[in-house]
Amino acid sequence: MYPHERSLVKRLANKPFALIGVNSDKDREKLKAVRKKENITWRSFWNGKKGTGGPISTEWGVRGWPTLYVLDAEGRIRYKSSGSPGDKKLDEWIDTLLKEMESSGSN
Amino acid sequence: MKRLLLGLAVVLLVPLSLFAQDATTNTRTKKADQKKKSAFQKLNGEFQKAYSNLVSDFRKAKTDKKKNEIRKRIPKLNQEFAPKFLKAAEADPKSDVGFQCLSWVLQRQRSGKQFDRALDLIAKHHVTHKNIVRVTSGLLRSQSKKASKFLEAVMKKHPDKTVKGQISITLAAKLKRTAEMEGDLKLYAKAEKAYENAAAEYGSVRVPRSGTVAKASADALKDMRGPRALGKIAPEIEAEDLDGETFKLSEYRGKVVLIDFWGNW
Repeated sequence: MYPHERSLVKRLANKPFALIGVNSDKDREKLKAVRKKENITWRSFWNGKKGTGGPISTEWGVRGWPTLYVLDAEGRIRYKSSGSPGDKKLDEWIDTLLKEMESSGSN
Repeated sequence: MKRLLLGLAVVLLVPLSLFAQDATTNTRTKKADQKKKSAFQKLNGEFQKAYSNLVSDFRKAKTDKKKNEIRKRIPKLNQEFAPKFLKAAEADPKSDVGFQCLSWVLQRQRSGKQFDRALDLIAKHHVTHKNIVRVTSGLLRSQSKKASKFLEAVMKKHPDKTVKGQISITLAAKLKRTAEMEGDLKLYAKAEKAYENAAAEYGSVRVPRSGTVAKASADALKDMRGPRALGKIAPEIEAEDLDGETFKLSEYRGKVVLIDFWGNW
């Protein structure tokens, strides 16, 4: 599970990139076991005990899982996908924004 | 006198024979149609059987590995049957059975050779079919370039206002989705207009799940004009992580951030 997320984190370890999860499992303890088993190395907000009805996903208008938002260095929402956009697209988005940062010299 | 009688007889007999031939053709067509109907039902029966076998295998599977392996077989099953349904449709694409077979392909695939071929045939023969929404509603997520063109063609040619109304929302939703996936603000503005126009022209038309075109449009526009719209600075998130420690989204300012709403169920 989540092989592309893991490879992204690895590939971009030395770049100004962060993968932040928002997890909607109801049981936080069970989730910690999954995290260990699947080697999930990125940090996640917990959506709370209401699971998919929790406050963060509700505020962000998330109705399907997964839903992805990509923010640039300014914190601006640049891309969004409900459902996975595919590994290729995901890489394109992130690489585009990283290049943008490099060319504007905002390292 | 004899010639006249003969002539009359011929005149009388000819239409009778035509009528007889017509009746035979009608019976032949009905039988043929019934034969073809069985072709769809036959294929569908085969598919349903294979699918329920997969489901029961899944239920019996004891390990996650086995479950994942079975999950992967579902799209493979669809891919296995798509050419069969397509072949059955090509035998008589104009017929209702042809429509059923083509719909099957378009509801189970999102792109590819068979998808495009099925779309071409349905566009050619069934653009005004009373059940066309079965096909159009599923085209929101299709990556095929033909999908939007097809939707526009149905909107133009279909006589039913309900169909037009529902498609107007599908088209607007497609624009919004593409704009978000391409990071295209111009297209996003186009999508907004499309929702506005849909509500103006088809507001009272019923739409599954949202209620009416007006409501579906209002919901989408609220999202597109709200704080998490494309191009807006993301609002703050401040909450606990999986270990109970509180952290903030704004701590990551200055980095490219991928926010992944996920779950393990």
